[in-house]
Amino acid sequence: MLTVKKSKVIALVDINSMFASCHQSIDPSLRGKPVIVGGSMTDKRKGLVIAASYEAKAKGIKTTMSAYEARKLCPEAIFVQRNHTLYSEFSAKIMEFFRLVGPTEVASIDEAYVDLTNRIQNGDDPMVIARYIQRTLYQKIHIPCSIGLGENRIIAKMSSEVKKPLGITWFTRQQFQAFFHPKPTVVLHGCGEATAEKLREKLGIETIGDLAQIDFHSIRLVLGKRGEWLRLAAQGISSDTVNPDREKGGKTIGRETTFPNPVSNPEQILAVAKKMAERLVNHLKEKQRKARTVSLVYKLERLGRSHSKSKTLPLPTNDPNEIIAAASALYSEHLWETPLHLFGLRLSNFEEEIFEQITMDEIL
Amino acid sequence: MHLQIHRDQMTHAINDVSKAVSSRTTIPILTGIKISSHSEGITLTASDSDISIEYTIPLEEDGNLFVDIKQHGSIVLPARYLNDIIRKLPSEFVELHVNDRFLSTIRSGRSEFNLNGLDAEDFPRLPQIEEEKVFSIQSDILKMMIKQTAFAVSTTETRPILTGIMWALEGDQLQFVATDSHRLAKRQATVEALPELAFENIIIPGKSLLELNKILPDNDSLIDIVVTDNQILFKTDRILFYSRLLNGTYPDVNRIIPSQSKTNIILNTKEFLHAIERASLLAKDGKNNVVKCSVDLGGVMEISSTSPEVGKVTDEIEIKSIEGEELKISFNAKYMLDTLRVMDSEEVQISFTGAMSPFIIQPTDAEQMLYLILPVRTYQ
Repeated sequence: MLTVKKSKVIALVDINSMFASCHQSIDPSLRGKPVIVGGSMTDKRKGLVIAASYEAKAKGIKTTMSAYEARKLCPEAIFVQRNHTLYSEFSAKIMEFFRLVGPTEVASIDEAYVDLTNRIQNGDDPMVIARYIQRTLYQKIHIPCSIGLGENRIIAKMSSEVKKPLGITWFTRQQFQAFFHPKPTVVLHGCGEATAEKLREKLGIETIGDLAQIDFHSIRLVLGKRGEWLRLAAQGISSDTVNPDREKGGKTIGRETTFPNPVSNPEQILAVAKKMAERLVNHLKEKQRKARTVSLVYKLERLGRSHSKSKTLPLPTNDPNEIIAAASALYSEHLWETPLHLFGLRLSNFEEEIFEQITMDEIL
Repeated sequence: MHLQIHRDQMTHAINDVSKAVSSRTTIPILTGIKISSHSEGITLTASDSDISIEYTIPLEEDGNLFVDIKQHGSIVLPARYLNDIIRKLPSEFVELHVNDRFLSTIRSGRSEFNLNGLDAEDFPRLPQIEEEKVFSIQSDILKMMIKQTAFAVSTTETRPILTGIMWALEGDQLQFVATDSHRLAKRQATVEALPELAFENIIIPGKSLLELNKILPDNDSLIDIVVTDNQILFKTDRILFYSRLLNGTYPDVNRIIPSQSKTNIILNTKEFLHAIERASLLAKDGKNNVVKCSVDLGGVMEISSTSPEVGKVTDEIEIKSIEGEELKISFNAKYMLDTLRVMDSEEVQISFTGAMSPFIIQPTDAEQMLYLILPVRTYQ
């Protein structure tokens, strides 16, 4: 008997301006008004914009802008203090609702992939389900979201970006290509500014369409395995698996590097570790997180498997010095002067930065 | 070498010196215990990079025979096996015989063990200490001082100096300070010292002092202490305990201890401890174990804590006395628990100077102790 491969439908639900929306949800007097999360409690001119409602964004407010600039652009803006407990509670509630719809993979506090395939096979229309999700969230808890639908993760993810707030976009692969191919590569999910710059310089690639058509070997040479993945993404091809067990926001971040010849010089290794720590810390700070576990990754043989050694700190940190200290302690204890083919640094065991311990150095 | 040793004495000695045996070391001989005989008895020695311990078993004490030396000598035996073997031997005395190829025979009753030993000449020599700065302190007081400060040392290598306890001596007052830069413990005691003896900034690894604490007796016998530039030596009747000192300058912590306060309260130590313990129950794996305390002038302190995925707890305790302003403050519950657990006074006084400033915890009946905790900023 002939079996037909069942086509999948994945939805990516993205909560619009999650932080600001939560505040507007619990305080109806903030609805329809420019709301800015951030600023300093004590000094009106200090602090940064952490998030802004669509009403505020319309006035030109952007995240990481200083509160002072924001006030100049939009004097009527209402500042509220960030409240991570509130966001986590909303997120948990929303994710629970998604799980009633289908297998759900929490991608971050305000984003989830929901696998609609089973529902579709039972005869439901993806658009009807998407509208139901959007309407329910808005009517019940006043939280706006945008939904992208597609046969795989990349199409769902990028379709969700098409209309914000409150958009629903369903692209086939052809529609995806027609819409995104003329756009610059930075628009592609997974392609940052640095990568876009590399693509432009090394391969003359400007648009997502250019990237989709580049030959396999050139992209591999420039970006390695990640290049292959990006090229496929540009074509609208990616994994279509939704993993309900994945924890939000990833469990580790890390960097590693392979040496052309094994390196055993501690100074050289520690210099590499220091650079990595600094970059990882920037990443942590962007996500407003702290890590508690520091790990070294290494290879003793070029083709061997990689090993790791870890250390868990008493308190979560985003202080590069603390991370470097832990990394060098691990290195001197386990790997001192050992020839390494690969060396990497990983951070895990994240915590959201709800609290910040005051230290003696701030006072001395 | 050929000896007869009283088994219980030997067990005790091995137990004490084992605190200095390194389990992980690049120098294999340091996983062993050196045993050497001399005219006064036998001495067991162990050492790692931080501490060295020497334990001497006398030939006899109060008419009881402990060691019988048939032939002098010395040997290094692996600590791990030695410990287990001696403990489990059947009779009161242990016979140790070592041949010229370091093969050692341990006999007791009808048991016999043959162990490969190492040449004692290869065992590192212990530091030679010139006894210039010597003073004495009661063993139980020293143990108390260690217990009441060591919990506050830093356990990370970010600032190695903070992994130690800073000692200062002036007149007959010995002071310990420990801090991990989030909280601080300070404890003072009276010692027997020559009036002209004074020092400061002597920093002893917290780990060394915790090991010392385990082997010191719980009585008022005097411990002699010798301080040099890079070593400190503790002496009891039978034990010499050496620790290296940490190099560097300890931060001037007196500058973070507020001299004035805005809110002063007195609480029952046990009640407060239990309330904080309850407030910590919802903290997940000890993460984000932050509690919020609000002090109101009506004489009640509310203690609460929220764990995003778990829930919330609130508790109230009576304030015995209050002076000054109302206050809300958040801090790491673990720091408060550590502090309250080493306090033996019935009541504690807490002096706050605002929600973002360090606050002081002191027993109401003793001025020799001072604890300080730095609060946390919250974004919730």
